[in-house]
Amino acid sequence: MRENKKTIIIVFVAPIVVLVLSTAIYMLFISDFRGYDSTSTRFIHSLDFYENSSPGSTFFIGDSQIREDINCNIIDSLHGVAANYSPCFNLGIEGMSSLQYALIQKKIIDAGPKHVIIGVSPLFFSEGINSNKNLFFFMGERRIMPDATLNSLLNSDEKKSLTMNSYLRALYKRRFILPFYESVIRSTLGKRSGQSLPDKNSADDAYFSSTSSGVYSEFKSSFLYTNAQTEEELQKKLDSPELLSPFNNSNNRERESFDYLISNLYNSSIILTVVSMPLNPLLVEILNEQSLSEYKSFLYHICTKNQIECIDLTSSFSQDQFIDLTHLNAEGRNSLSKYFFEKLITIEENFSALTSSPSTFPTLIPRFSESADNPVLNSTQDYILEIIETIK
Amino acid sequence: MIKIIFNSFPFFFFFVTVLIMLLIIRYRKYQHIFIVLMSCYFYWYSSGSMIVLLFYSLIMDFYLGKLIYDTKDSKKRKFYFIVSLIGNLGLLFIFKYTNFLTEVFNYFMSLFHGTFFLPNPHILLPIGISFYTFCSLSYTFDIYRKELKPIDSLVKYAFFITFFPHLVAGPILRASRFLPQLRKKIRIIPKNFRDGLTNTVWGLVKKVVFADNVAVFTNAYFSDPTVYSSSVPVFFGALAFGIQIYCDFSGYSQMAIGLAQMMGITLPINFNKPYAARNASEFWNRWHISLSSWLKDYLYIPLGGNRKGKIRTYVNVLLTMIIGGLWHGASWNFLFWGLYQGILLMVHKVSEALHITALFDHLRGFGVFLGWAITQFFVFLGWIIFRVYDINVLFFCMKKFIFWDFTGSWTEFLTLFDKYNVPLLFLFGFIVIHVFTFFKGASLEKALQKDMFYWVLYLFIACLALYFLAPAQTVRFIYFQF
Repeated sequence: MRENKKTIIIVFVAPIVVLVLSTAIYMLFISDFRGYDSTSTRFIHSLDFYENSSPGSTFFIGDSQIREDINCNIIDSLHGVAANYSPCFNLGIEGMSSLQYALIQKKIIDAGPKHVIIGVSPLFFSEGINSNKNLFFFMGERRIMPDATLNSLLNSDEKKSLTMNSYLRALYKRRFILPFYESVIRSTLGKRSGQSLPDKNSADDAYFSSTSSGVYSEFKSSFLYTNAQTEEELQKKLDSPELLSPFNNSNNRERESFDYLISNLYNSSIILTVVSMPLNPLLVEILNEQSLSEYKSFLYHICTKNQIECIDLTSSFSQDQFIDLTHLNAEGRNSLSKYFFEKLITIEENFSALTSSPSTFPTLIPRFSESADNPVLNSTQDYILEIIETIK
Repeated sequence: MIKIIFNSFPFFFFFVTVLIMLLIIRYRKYQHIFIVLMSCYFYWYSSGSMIVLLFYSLIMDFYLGKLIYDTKDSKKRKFYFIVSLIGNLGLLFIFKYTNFLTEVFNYFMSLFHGTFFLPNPHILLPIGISFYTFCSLSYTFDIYRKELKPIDSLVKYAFFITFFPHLVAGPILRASRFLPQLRKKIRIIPKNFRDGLTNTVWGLVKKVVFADNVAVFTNAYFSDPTVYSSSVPVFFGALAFGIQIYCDFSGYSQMAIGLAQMMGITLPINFNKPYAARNASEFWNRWHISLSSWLKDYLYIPLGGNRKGKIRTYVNVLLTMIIGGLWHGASWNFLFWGLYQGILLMVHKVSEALHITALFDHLRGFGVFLGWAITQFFVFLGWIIFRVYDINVLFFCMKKFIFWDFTGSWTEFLTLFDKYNVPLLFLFGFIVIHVFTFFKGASLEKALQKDMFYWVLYLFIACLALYFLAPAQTVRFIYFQF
């Protein structure tokens, strides 16, 4: 009889204990998700972390173009000698869209950056091309509560995702576990076979070792692309009809979200710069002219409306500085990073001069024009070419 | 869109509620009513108004069963039976094959430059219709053959048809084996609960961990198999799909069996290591057993079976398997798959008649291996027919599978492995487990019965596996589309 009781207890109670215990282990494991997946899942966590560290930095935000094309290590190390400098963080995320940034704009504002540089391209506004399906933005501890404007732009699936409870969000994160361990195994095997990331030079390593560990240093640079695209892959992309007129394929939702994001960041006294990121001349050549012109008009409209600086780097780099149609190689990245180093000093100086005057917030002159013969744009291209020559 | 499925959280809460209520409800009659209500809720939650069709089939067969039994006149008996047959098969035909037949009609119209085209009716397929109509049909069939007495209680009959573990994807039940179990009160006892939970959890692991992970590779590969030139990718594709469909469907069946077992009800097994089969007949005795035995008892044997000469036997086999293929779905590939399986069975029967199989037996171990290898080669070739819908792609895959081409195979293997290493590791992992358990010959329940500690450990490891090894996307159960 006693054994029967014991059996009954074990059979009926043990599954409950096992379920609770395994759930607890999983929840503990998944709560610190910095290690899982790429920058996308670490993003919110890092913003939370950054909120409590040192405000007044420069954030680069955008899609994989920002992630791959900007090396904050270079910018920071060059700035080592300059006064009034705010450290730089690369928060570019693969496949990121305007709407997704708009959803987390409050977290960006709360992190307190002094300067936000937003990298865009015609592809950035096309949902078919830029699509980060991981919905990482609700991976933080708190739910994202979109306001009425954003709520009207969301579809029912997205609304459902944003209202997931903590447990469902924890389950959602399961998708990052296997890819994470796969990447760990890959990198371990890669190291053993003597392969290394082509862009990580000794200066970068030295920088990493000198900075604090954890998420703070992770956002200095990512350089996830290790291989240049094959001819075949490149051709496949070039043949994609969607790629030919990306801005025409984009929808108003992305444009409205971008406008909303810019207005909100601007109203939060953040210095804003919108950069039309470099595109491979191969792509520029085949891009639908109307699409490109509409895209430039849109940016021009946004920049003039909000009185912010816009920089057009669309055609500033040569074909041999790209690893594919949109991402720069090491040489291109270094050139662009050095360009931004110079640019940031100018902006900082302008900012200091203007804040010492009675005006409370600097009003910068738009430097982006619908005209292809814009002298400012040409001078930017000359400047980039000058940097490239220096590096060579 | 299925909302309560075995691998979902709503179902977990649903089932826990059912178990608790069964412990609370003391009388058998009310337990049955409760199960029927919960099963109807389960189906309604998934299918909405389509539940009307379930009620139609259920009520029609319950009363026709009575009429068939009570009528002495053989013509009337036959008439009632035909009404049941038309009622069930007509339902299946309208909801499952109308879209397909319209497409076929329009295809032939366009082929012969006709001008009259039928509009596509876009009829939605009710979930589980193939399973519950077959289940219901077996009841009237058995009464007609005087092998079963009709049940007097509509509630009990509704319990048999709607019982939620088997309702949407089987196993296909037989009234003669199921209904006697309802004479006893439902009691949730430790032994049944433990064995049932063991089965349910293992079924869940098979589906969520193995089938869904392997599906990442199969979905990617079968989206365009023509990009690979050698035979190696098609071998992996067929192997992966074979493992995926097995883990998916046998996982579901095992969960159904386990859930019923926890409530003290025994459902028939549906799979018995089909990839260990050494000939086509043995494969069908191990794969989707409830369907193959249904087809045998209610189609092959009534057609004459093997009692009317060799030629007629082969025709019966072919007909049975074609209908079996079409049962899976209304499309050309299922028709071909059924025909292909019929040919395999026919070839096996011919080789038996010519004593070729006896030759294999003489070779002992090597003969067993050879028989197994040849059978499985054709089984996996069959999975390509089952999986590929485009006829050109199908011929491409079959050509690569039959006429081996190893040009550039190593490079393609490395490319595949580099790209899909996680799904392929799960594939190999399952093969190892499958082979190990086959040679050990021990069932999971028996292995875990010895020591309670191992059972708890098994549950713990399985729970962790479900949490940590689930893929990014949960794949819908393959057999829900049938």
